[in-house]
Amino acid sequence: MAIDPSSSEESAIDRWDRLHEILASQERRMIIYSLMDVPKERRIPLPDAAMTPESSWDQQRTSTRLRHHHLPKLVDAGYIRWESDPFCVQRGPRFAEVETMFDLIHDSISQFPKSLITGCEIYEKLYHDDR
Amino acid sequence: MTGDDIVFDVINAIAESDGIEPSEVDFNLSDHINPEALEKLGEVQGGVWELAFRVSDHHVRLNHDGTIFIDGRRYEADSVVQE
Repeated sequence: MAIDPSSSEESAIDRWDRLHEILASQERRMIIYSLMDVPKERRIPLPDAAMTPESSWDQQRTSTRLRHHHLPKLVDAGYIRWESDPFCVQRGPRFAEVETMFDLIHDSISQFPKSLITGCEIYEKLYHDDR
Repeated sequence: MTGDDIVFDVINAIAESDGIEPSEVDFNLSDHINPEALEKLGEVQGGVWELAFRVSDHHVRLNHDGTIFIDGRRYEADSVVQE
């Protein structure tokens, strides 16, 4: 599925809706975070890239959820590409949308209310590093 | 039924009915039904509901107590309960 970022049929409002929809899952957020940590074209292994510090770790359940729910949704938004064998993920043509959003969160982490930090290990670590 | 795992439960039941592993199914659930809708249904507390849809060449029916029927055969928590 090829998406040309320059000729979008979706409005900016549609893209914002989609961005927020994508962010409404810890496993999808974790995949985005994992991809931000590696060079642009790098493929990284799944399901590891979706594993969160909080997640209970059942490889078969997680892999099934990723294949049938989260990965198709991320592809549809243009944020990733993935392959089944070997099971891996890399950045998609519109990755910059989520990357920019996450960069902003990182840069402003100390300004977020504690209710969005406490209990979320990734943000807790960032928050304390920032203080 | 626990929201996020409803997708796994459905795929697992279909795989069992075909005698294969969940990783071996040759279709994608999201091509047939919005997985988000399944998860939202799975999160409903105390409701009574039943949902039926087609996936590939299977008829899938599931309800609020976690029972899944594939082509009329009943599955529950990883195994066939009755014919």
